[in-house]
Amino acid sequence: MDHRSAVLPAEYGWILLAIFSVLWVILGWLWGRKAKNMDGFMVAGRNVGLALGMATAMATWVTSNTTMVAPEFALRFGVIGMIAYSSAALGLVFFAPMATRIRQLMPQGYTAGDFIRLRYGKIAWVLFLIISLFYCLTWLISMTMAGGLFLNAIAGIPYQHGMTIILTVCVIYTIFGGLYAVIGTDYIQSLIILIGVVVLGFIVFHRVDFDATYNELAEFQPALLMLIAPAAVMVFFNNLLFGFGEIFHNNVWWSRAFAMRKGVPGKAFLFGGLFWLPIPVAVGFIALSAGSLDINIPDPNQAGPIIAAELLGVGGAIVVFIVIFCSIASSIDSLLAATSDLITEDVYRKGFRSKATDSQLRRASVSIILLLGLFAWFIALPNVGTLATTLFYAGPLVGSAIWPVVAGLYWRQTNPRAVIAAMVLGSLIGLLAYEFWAWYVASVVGAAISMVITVVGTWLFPRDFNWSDLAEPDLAIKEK
Amino acid sequence: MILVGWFVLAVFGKADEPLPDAGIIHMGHLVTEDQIEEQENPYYVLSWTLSDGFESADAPGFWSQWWAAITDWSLSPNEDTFDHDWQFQVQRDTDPAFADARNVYLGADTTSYISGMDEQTHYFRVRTVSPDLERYSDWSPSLALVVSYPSQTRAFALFGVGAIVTIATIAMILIGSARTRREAELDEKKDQNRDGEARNS
Repeated sequence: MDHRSAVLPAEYGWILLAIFSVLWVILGWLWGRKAKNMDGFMVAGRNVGLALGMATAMATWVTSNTTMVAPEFALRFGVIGMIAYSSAALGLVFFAPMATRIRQLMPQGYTAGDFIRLRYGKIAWVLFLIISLFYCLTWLISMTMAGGLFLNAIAGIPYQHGMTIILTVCVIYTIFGGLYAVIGTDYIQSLIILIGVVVLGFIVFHRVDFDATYNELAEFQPALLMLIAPAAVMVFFNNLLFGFGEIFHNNVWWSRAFAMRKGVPGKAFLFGGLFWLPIPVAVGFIALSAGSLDINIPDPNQAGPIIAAELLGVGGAIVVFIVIFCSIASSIDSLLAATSDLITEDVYRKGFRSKATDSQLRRASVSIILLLGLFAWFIALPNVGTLATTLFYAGPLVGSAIWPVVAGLYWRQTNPRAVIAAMVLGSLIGLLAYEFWAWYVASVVGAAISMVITVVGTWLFPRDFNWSDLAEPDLAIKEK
Repeated sequence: MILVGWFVLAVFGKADEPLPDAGIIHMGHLVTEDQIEEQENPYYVLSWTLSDGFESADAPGFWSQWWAAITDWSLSPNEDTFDHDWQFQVQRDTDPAFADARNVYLGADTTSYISGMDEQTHYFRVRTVSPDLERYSDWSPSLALVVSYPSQTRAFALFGVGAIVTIATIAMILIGSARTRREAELDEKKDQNRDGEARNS
């Protein structure tokens, strides 16, 4: 390996891992006791307030990618890459009005799949499930791998051990309390992430000489300061649209919209996005300062931990450990809960057991969370280094889902067949762009094709829709 | 034992294939002169390593013979294959004779991520240095990286497409939200009027 020592002594890593593992399980159990029925388990009783709503939006969106890939974007694509990464905040900001609309149209809804099925019919629903499950599973597996790789890089904890512990802890507390436990732990995790980033940013701000950083970049890495570098220019909207696609279609966000009480979703997602916005800029800037600080970066993924450890010693590495551990846990638990909801509601209940009672659905949901955890563990175990690339394959797929979702929410006459064609052709042509062009154009291509087909198809062949059909009478789950 | 460097292309299963010591980088891969292509991603991972036979830290003349430029590698920072105190010194220059060389790195790492270089040929070389910085090996053969950017036409075309899709999506959301909010308010007013009329009658 290349960086010849872990930045934190292994015993510190194990102690921190033990403390936070026990903490999350206890907190998850405490919050999870509120989940008395399936509404509690899947959508936290539809009564989540502004503080918790905002915290869960921010914490879930601060993935290991935010803290580990954002510095890589800054080092690869420079200042414009850093701004491009932070533009993913707009996904949350513009999901805010959508969440209000979702809550208004589907007061008893559970999943994004429910919306697509009722709005466009079964073929579109199956297509949407394929896209969404592919994305959720690759994201879950890549987060699991990121957990193992991160613990290995920062504290020398063997990859398989670290990955297994993080995943097990998240599975346990998600099973205990479903979305209640996830949102509760997200609240604490978001506070820790914010405080950690502010502390790190403050210390780095005082230690880094801005003039020296600029001069170093201007002399030895001038392309990083260019605002019109070709790759960076292409990355900008691709990343933004990838973020739109990820958030607009994914049940992770829809389940939170359903979980928040009336009047809350709009503000919660708006403020969650605004709080998220500076994080990639802060970690990106830290990465750009490496040259002026004379710090070697063997792997851009590890720029944050390496620079923090070099600048702040063991204390800095501990802060980074806690921040990134929280960001990974908050994403894995959200994915486990939201993906299990999607499978329980859209596959199990709608496909096989339409009369399933509350307790049957709860058992199914717990089993699905366990199976998802096992599946992610099994795939992540061999540490195949190409999974991040696989996640990028989801770019054109989720990009192609943007317009079907947005047009479905706001246009009464959106044509379901056009939407099906938009998702199929947007995904296929986007994947071809990925394969023959570059990964950083695939989401733009997928979203553009999908938009054109949705708009033209609806304009030529409008189909009227009755909004009240979204408030499906049998959507509510019967309690035993 | 003499240090032998490798092109660390293990992730591609080509760890034992020595590549030429000068060439063009395309998307982070070293290619030979007759395979010149424009590269778009100005980022590379330079790697160097020691031969399996390296055991003694005392013998002078160690040098890392070959280089690698890879874009992907597995994170596993504790798989140190050597436990000596010697360090590596990496230099970079735009002059093949390294007349005005700049030290890029001095330390024990065997990889360095480089990015953001301007459009010209950059040369790199590496050598081992003793902990007291008094003894050092010969320099390795230099690695030439020819950085050249493609035309910006395609980049801006895609930028334009992305901008149109993004603006259209945002406009759709904002206009749609404003309209549906107005409709909801009107519905609410109608309900209130209906209730009021019902009470009056």
